[in-house]
Amino acid sequence: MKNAFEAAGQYFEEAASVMDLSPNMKRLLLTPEREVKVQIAMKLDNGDIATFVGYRIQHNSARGPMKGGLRYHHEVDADEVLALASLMTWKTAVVDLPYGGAKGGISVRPKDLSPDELERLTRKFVDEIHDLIGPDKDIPAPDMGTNAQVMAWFVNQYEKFHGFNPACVTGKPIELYGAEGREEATGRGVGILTEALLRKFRKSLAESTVAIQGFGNVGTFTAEFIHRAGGKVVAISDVSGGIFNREGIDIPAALTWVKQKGSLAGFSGGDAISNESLLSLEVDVLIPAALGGVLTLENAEHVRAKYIVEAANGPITPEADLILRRRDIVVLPDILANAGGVTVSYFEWVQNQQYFRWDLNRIREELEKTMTRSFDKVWSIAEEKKIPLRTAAYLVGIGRVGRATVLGGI
Amino acid sequence: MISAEKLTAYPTFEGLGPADAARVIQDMTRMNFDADSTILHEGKSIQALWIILSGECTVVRQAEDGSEMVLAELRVGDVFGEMSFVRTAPHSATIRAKTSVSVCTYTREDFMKLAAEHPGAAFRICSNIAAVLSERLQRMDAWICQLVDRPEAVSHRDEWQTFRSAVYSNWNF
Repeated sequence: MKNAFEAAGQYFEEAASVMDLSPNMKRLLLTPEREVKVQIAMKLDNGDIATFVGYRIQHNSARGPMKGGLRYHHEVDADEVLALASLMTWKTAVVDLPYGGAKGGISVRPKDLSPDELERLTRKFVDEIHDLIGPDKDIPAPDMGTNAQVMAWFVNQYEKFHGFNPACVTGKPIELYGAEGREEATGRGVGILTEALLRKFRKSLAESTVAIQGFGNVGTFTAEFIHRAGGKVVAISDVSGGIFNREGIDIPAALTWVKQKGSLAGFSGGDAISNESLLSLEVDVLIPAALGGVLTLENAEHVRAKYIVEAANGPITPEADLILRRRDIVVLPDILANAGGVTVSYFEWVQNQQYFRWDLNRIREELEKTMTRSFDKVWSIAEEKKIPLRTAAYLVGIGRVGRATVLGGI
Repeated sequence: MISAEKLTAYPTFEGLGPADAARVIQDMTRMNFDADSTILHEGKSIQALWIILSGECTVVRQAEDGSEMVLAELRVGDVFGEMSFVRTAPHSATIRAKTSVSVCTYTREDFMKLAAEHPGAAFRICSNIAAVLSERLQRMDAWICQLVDRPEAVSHRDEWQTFRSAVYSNWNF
């Protein structure tokens, strides 16, 4: 994941130099407002004492309460969390949500813990940070290694200190003030913007071929959206490997298979293909929806897709980005492409604040409105200034945060 | 007035022989000023060297907005007026008596006479003044380097304004 956040810094620098920001203004925009590191000591099921380190980094609140995921992963450290927190600041600004940016995490292998242990870990973490977060301060959400169940424990523990407060986290289960459509939101947003991007080139999903790397939450919902829109998903993959079918993969069958078996291993809807060769398939659209740093200096020359939509955070290294730029391959950047998740998180928070529930149709409509409006803005700036979509997205984000900072003063 | 020995202890008159020192002292005029009175006015020009015999003075300069900035404080033995002395130019700052002050002045007119009759003595005074001024210039250079090294100290206001106009004009989407 190192690549992902080094990239974030580099892309910020690029936009900042286009804007001719002074070193002091860059420092003001990059320095986090608060970094918290806490000890989480707990008893394991076998009676041993285990100690973990948890982080919450609040990067910028110029535009509103800070928003960002909470990840459980053994490689979580302060540098990574800070980079991802700043990414959230630009992301919420690009899609114009009234939020700032934050991120948190615990350095732990969640698969090594039992459900009981995960619950105790989550509650202990809330005990340590509950004073620093809240619906008007900083609102966590699920991320790598966490899910709706973790959010349910989180809100339950938070309410022990602060009373009824469902808006203190998003991505909750529907039964506990969660929003319809939150789970599908990131993938759906990726699908919506893939279609919007193709439309700019007078093409449509229905006449396009797509390869998706990653068949987890984002990948599956992206594939489903594209399949329903008539697009031909010719390749999918997960950690167990990939499938390629020139005639198009039977996505509903693949979804059922994964739901039952837990992975794509053994799915027979096409020829086996490696994750690496999926990236160089001759398709219209390539959607990396798994890990960061998969398109690098080594393989960027082999990409044969015309468009790349970054569903994952930072799947393209900055060196690879330059190569793709030179080769005129259009890249829709992560801070815009995968902002559907935080957008529906915002809808969930709004509903919690209003004690009012929207139905799925309304959420989908509002999501589409937010995503396409943001895309159109970024697209028109990229056209006007003759810059890549990524730089344009950062310009929009930095500009909005900058204006809020200027208006509020320091 | 003052003794020849004391006069040659001041950097400006260092190295003068007893006879030349006595000649200079003879040409000098002693003047007294009350506290808070102005000795030299910024912008006006009197071509003379001034030596503080007793008391203290401040060197002040008017800022653009009319406020006064104290540039330095002068004590017994300090010499001022060198810049206008060597070059016909208005005083670059105002000298004000901080306490009651006693000074003696040595005019350029007397100096020019000395130069005609005792060029060696005049050369001595001139090179001393040059040394004083070059030392001051060196201090200024160091000060400017310091300012350049930390631009935020002098340009903070501009920086904020520049950022404000950038995000509200070119980068206002």
